Amino acid sequence: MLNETVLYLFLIGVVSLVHTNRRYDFLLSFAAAVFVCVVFGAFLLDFKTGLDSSYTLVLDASQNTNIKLDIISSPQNYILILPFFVMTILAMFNNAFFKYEPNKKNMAACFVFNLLSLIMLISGHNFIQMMTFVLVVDILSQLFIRDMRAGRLCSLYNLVSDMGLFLVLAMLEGKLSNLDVGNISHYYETGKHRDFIMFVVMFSLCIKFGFFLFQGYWLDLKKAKFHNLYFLPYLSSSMAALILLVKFYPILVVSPSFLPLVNWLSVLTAVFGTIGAVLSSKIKEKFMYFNMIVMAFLVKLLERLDFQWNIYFSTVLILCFILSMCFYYFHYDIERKQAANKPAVFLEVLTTIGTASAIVLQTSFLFSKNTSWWILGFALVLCFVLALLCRQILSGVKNVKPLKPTDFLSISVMLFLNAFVLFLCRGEAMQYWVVLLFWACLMFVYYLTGFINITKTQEFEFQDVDFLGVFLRKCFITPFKKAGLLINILTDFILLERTFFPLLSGANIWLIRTYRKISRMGLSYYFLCMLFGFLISFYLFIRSKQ
Amino acid sequence: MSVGILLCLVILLPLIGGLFVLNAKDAVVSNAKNARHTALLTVFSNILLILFLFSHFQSAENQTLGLIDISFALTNKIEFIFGADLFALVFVFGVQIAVFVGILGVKKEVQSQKGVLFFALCYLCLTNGYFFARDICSFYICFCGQLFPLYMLICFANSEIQNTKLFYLFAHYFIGAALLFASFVLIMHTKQGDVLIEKISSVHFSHQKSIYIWGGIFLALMLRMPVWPFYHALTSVSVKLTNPLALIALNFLPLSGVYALTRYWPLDIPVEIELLSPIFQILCIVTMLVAAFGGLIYSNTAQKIHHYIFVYDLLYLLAVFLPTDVIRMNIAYSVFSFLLMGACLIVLQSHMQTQSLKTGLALKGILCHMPKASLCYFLFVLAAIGLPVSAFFWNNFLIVSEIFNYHLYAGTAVIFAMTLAAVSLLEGAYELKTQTCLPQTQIKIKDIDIFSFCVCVLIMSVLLVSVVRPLWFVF
Repeated sequence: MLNETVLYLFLIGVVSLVHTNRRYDFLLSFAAAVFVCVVFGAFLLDFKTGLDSSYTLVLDASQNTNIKLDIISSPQNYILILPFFVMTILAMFNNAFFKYEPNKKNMAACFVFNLLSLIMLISGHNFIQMMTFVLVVDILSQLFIRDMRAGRLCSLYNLVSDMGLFLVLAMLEGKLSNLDVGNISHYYETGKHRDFIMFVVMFSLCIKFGFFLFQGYWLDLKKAKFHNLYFLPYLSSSMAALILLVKFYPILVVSPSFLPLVNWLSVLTAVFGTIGAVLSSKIKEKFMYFNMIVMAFLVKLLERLDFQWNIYFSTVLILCFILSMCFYYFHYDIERKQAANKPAVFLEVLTTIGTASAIVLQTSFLFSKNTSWWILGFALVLCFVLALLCRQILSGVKNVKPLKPTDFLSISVMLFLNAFVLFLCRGEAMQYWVVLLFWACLMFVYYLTGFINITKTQEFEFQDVDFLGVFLRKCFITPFKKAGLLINILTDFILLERTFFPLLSGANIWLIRTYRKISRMGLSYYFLCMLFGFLISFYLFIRSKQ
Repeated sequence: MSVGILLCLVILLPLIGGLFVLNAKDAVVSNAKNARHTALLTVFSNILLILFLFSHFQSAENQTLGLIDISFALTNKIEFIFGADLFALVFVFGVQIAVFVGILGVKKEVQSQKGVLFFALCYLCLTNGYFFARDICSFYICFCGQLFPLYMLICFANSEIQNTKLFYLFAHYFIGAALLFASFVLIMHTKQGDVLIEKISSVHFSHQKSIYIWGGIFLALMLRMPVWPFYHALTSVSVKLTNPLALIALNFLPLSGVYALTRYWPLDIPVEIELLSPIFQILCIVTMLVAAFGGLIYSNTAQKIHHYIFVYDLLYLLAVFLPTDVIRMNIAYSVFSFLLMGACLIVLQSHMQTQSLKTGLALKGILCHMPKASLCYFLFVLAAIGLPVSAFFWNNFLIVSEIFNYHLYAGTAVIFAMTLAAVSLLEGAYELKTQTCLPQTQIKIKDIDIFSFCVCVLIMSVLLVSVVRPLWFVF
C-alpha cells in the first residue's frame, strides 16, 4: 500500500544522505535510483490490485483540532502519483550518469524526498499536511537550484505564494472549524467571499506556475545550471500547484470569474512564452519560456477535463518532461561543442519529434469524442514553437540567423509529422480540411518568422522585461517603502521624538520650576497648599453626597 | 524532593548562580570564562530542574492550574503564592533556553561581562517568579522587579546608550507599574487581603471601580507591549544594543505581557473596557503593519529581526484578545518555538556584527565566510518565516485561523503583515549570503564555535521534532 511506499522511500532518502567517500557517489546514487525503481514496481502492483486503504498518523490530538498525517491509497491517488514516480526515476538515473554533477548522492536524496513530499501532498486530506508539504517542496526546490542568485527571487516569490495559500487555508479552517480538505465545498454554504478566495488561490498558484505577470523568478532561474533546472518545472513547485488546483477545484469553481481567469491567463502565458522562446538566444532562456507554454497547456488541458486527473493526462505530463530532457541534452551537446556529433543530435531531434507527436496523440485521446479547439490550438502552438526552437538550436544558438527558404523543407518535416498524427487522431467534430487550413496558416507564419532579423538589442530589451517586477517595484515596493519611511519620520521622529517626549519633559521641568517658585514664596505657599487641599476635600464631599 | 522546594529552586537558582558569577575574578581573561561557565551551568541546571518539574504532569491534557503551589505568609493579609501549570512551565522553559543561548553568545571580549551575566541571571530569577506568581502581591513584585535588572543589563551592555532613549523606554514601563499598583491596591482594599490573580474576575466590584481596576490592569500590561506609540522607545534602544543577552531580555519582555493577558484576562470583562477592544485591535494591526513596513525599509538585518519580533508579539496579543479560550495552549507552544528561534537569530546576528566590527568588513556577504553560522542562520530564518516542520508553523496556523473566524479583514491584514515581515527577514538573510569579491584567504572571520553550533543544531532538532508533539521531551 501507499504507506509502505512512503516508508521505503523515506528509508532510501535517509540512506542516501549517509556521509561516504566521494568516489562512492555514483554507486550510491545509482543504487538509490534502482531501489526507487523496485519500489515503483511494488507501487504498480498495488495500483493494479486497486484496493482502497488509509493510514493515519495523529500528530497531536490534545489540541483544539486534530492534526494528523494521512496516507490514503486510492486509485485516484495512484494515478496522480504515477507521473511523478516515473519522472523522478528518469531524473535520478540521469543524475547518476551525468558526469558534471558534483554531489550525486545528495541530489538523489533530494529527488527521493521531493517525491515523498509530493506523495504526501497528494495523499493528504488535511490542510496542515497540504501546507506543510507544499512548503517542503518549495524548500527542496532551493536545494535543487543551489545558486543564491538564481534562487533568491524564486524563494521570495514562493514565500509570497505560500503565504497566500496559508491565508486561504487558515480562513477555511476558521470558518469550517475542520481541517479536512474534503469539506471545502461546504464553505460555499457557510462562508462568503468566494471571489476573494478564488483570487488569492489563483494568485498563489499562478506564481508557482510562473504564469504571465508572475514569470519574473521563472526567468531568473536561467542563472542556475541546466542539470539543476530541467526537472524543476515538472517535479517541484509548479507540480505542487497543479495538485492543489485539482484539490481546490470545488471551491474555485463556485466563483464565476474562475474559468475566464484560467482561460485568459493561460492564453496570455502561451503567447508571451511563444514570443520569448522565439526571440531569446540561449537555450536555457528558450527552455524557461517554452515551459511557460507547457504550464499553460497543462492547466488548460486540466480545465477541459474538469480538473479530473486521468491516466492520459499523466502520460502527457511525462512526455512534457521528456521534452525538457531533450532540451537539456541539446544544451550539453552544444556546450561541449559536439554539435558535429550528428548521430547524437539526430537522435535528440528524433526523440523531440516523437515526443511532440506523442503529446498531440495523447491529447487527442483525451478529446476523441468532443474535440476542444482550445486544446488542439495549444498543442499545435507547442509543436510549432518546438519546431522553431529545434531549427534555431541546430542553426546556431549564439547568432540566430534569418531562416533561408532552403531550411524550410528540412525542419518542417517535424511539423508535418505532427500534422499527420493530428489528422489521424482527429475527433469527429473536426473536419480534416480545417486542420489542413490551420496547418497551412501555421506554415506561412513559420515561413515568415524566418525573415525576422532579431538583433541583440531587441533580444536584451525583450528579455529584460519583467512586467510583474516593474509593476511590483513601481506600484507596491517603492510606495510601501516610501510610506514606511514617511510613517517613520512623521510618527516616530516628528510626533514622538520631537513633540511628545519633549512636551512631557517640558511639562515635567515646568512643574518642578513652579513647585520651586511656590516653595520660595513662604507663607503664601502654605496658604495655597491649604486651599488646594480644601478644594479636593470639598470635591470629594460633594461626590460622596451625590 | 518535594515539588514545592523544586519550584523554589527553579525561581531562586539563577539568583544563587548570579552570586557565584559575582565571585568570579574579572581581572584575568581566564576568570572571565569562569563567570560565563558558571552562568551557563546555572541556567543548564535550571533547565534540568524544569524538565523534572514537567514530569509531575501525567500527560499533556493535564493542564490543571496550580498543580504545584507553595505559599509564604508575610503578614495576615499578604501571602506570596507561587504555582506552576503546564502553560507557565512552557513559557519558563522557553525563557531558560533563550537565556542559555544568549549567554553562549556573550563573548569573553565583551566589557563588564560579569555585570551583564549577573543582571541577566537576576532578570531570569524575577522572570521565573513572574511566570509562577499566583497572587497579586508576588505578581506585582516580580512585574516591577524585572525592570531594575533589565535597566542595569542594558547599561552594562552598552554604557554609551543615550539616557533619553532609556528614559523613554523605562518611563512607560514604570507608568504601567504604577497603574498596576493602583489597581491591585483597589482590589486589596475591596477584598481586605491578598487575592489569587485568576480569582480577580470573581471578586465583586462596583461598576466604576471595576472600570478603574480592569482599565488599570489592561493599560499596565499593554504598556509592556510594543503597541504604537510605545514601540518606538523599544526600537530606539534595541538598535543601540549588540549584546545578545540584553537584546534577548529586552525583546522578549513584551511576551510577559502576553503571558499575563493570556493567563488572567477574563472572557467577561466590563462592557466599558470591552467597547475599547476593537479600537485596541485596530491599533494592534496598524502597529503590526507599521512594524512590518519598518522591517522592509531598513537594510540592516538586525533591525529586520527586531521588527519581525514586534510583528509576532502583536500577533500573540491579537490572539489573546479573541473571545475564546481554545487556543491558549497553541499560543504557549508557538511562543516557546518563537523564543528559541528568536534567541538563536539574535545571537547569530550579534556574532556577525561583532566579527564585522573586528575585521572592518561589511555585513553584506559575511555569511559566505561562516559556513556553520550560515547553515544555522538560514535554518532559523526558514523556521521563523514558516518552515512547516515545526510546532511554530501549525500553532500559528491555528491562531490565524481563529482570528479569521472572528474577523476576515483583521486576519487578512495579519497575514499581510506576517508576509512582509517574512519577506524582509528572508531578504536580509540573502543579503548576508551575497557573495563578496574578496578572496577567501584575505578574510579572517571567525565562525561560531563548535559548542554554539551544536546547541543551535540541538534547538533546531527540538523545533523539528516538536511537530510530532510540542512537549515530546516530557510526555
